[in-house]
Amino acid sequence: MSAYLVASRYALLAVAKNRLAAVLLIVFIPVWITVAKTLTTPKTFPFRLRATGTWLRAGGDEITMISGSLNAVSLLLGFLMFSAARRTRAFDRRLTAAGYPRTALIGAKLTTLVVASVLVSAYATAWMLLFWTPLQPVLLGVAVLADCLVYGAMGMFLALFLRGEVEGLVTIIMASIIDLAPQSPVASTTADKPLVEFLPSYGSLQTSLAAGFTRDVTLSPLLHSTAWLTAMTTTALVAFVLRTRVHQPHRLDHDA
Amino acid sequence: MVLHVTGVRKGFGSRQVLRGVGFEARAGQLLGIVGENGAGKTTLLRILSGDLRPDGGRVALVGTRGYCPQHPVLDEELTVRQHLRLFQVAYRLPGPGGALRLIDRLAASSYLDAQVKTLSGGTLQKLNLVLALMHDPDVVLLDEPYQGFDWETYLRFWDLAHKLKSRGRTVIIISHLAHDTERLDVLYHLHDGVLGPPPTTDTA
Repeated sequence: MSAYLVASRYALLAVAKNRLAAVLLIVFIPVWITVAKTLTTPKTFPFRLRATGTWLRAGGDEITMISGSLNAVSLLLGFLMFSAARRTRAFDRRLTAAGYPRTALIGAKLTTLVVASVLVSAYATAWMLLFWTPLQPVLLGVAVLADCLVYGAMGMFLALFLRGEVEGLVTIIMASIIDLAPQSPVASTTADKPLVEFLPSYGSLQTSLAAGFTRDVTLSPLLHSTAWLTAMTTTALVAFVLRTRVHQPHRLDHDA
Repeated sequence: MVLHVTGVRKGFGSRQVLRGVGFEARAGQLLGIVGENGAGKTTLLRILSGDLRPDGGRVALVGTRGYCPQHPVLDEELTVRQHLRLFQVAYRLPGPGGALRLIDRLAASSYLDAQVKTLSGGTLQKLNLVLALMHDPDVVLLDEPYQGFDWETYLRFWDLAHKLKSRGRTVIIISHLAHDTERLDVLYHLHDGVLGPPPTTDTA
């Protein structure tokens, strides 16, 4: 088995053993989606979809469910990837010093991010579909996947600066709240503040709303997600390469 | 000679830890470094292993290195066997035979499929040591490698160290135990950032 396959297999096995993440997945995601759909108002009201400039009408419960599920998956992926990056920080150094190919370890990290994001986004989207029939379910899944990837990368990025698991979790919770609350159509019906475009979940929320309530395949907001994903993944991986440098000794001749 | 260290300096902020460390080691030599807490023993070994870059000086060696850090550096979510597999890939070894023999010699075979986070301190240290030795390196760098070992394992460790020596490997051990010194060929004392002969009370 190649170095990449061994590293990826073990990275995924280790991530699967993360108990808090498992609880968040099994309990938190369905509870959030169920609470949002059943306890919030189904009354419809108008809001402007910033990505297209069109005015739409949607139920408060459906909007809250979209926003809540993005909130739940972002916490889960952010915490999962933060926890994995933090756990393996010193071990990766030892492995690479022993000669483990860094490209294989980087590949394993990216594989973990993608596999976890695909599984969690499919699971969260399936829960939403139990309560609601969006006009474009596949596009909704893509939007949730984008949020998983962005927050997973954010978890890897935050592990560069934050040492403790609690510090990481609290930071990710706060980031997700500050990110999603002000751009929800419930809070910002006109979406006329340009700064919302710089928020990490802007692409996912706009695409989810377009998927839920229009028949337009609106992909342009996902460019914002791609920018966030690229910036944070690149920073985390460059830091990984710098941290795993080994200072090679001078070679000594045998007869020296 | 397999290891030649000259004028190694290292500081952290305004604190100069190493001020010009130099020594040589030959094949088949067991070399010990003693010193007070905070003298810079671990810093020196991290420089020898390539983990830290010195501010000045030169480290030159022949062949391969194996480094056993002071505190076990492992992945708590993986099993012992999974660690051996990862390091087998890292060292490009054809099979796990050598590592399994070492595990057996340290009486840890029954823990092969145990998750690292469930192991005792002594067993963690055994795995930490095996990961440094499993590729049979020419120069072995051990930072207090027997922490947490019971007496029998401690004796097995020294038996292993002498076998490495008899096969021509160079073993450098950081130690703080005075009664280890009689097992060593050469002993240095790290004091005030330089290596010197041990104080007479430390010698056996």
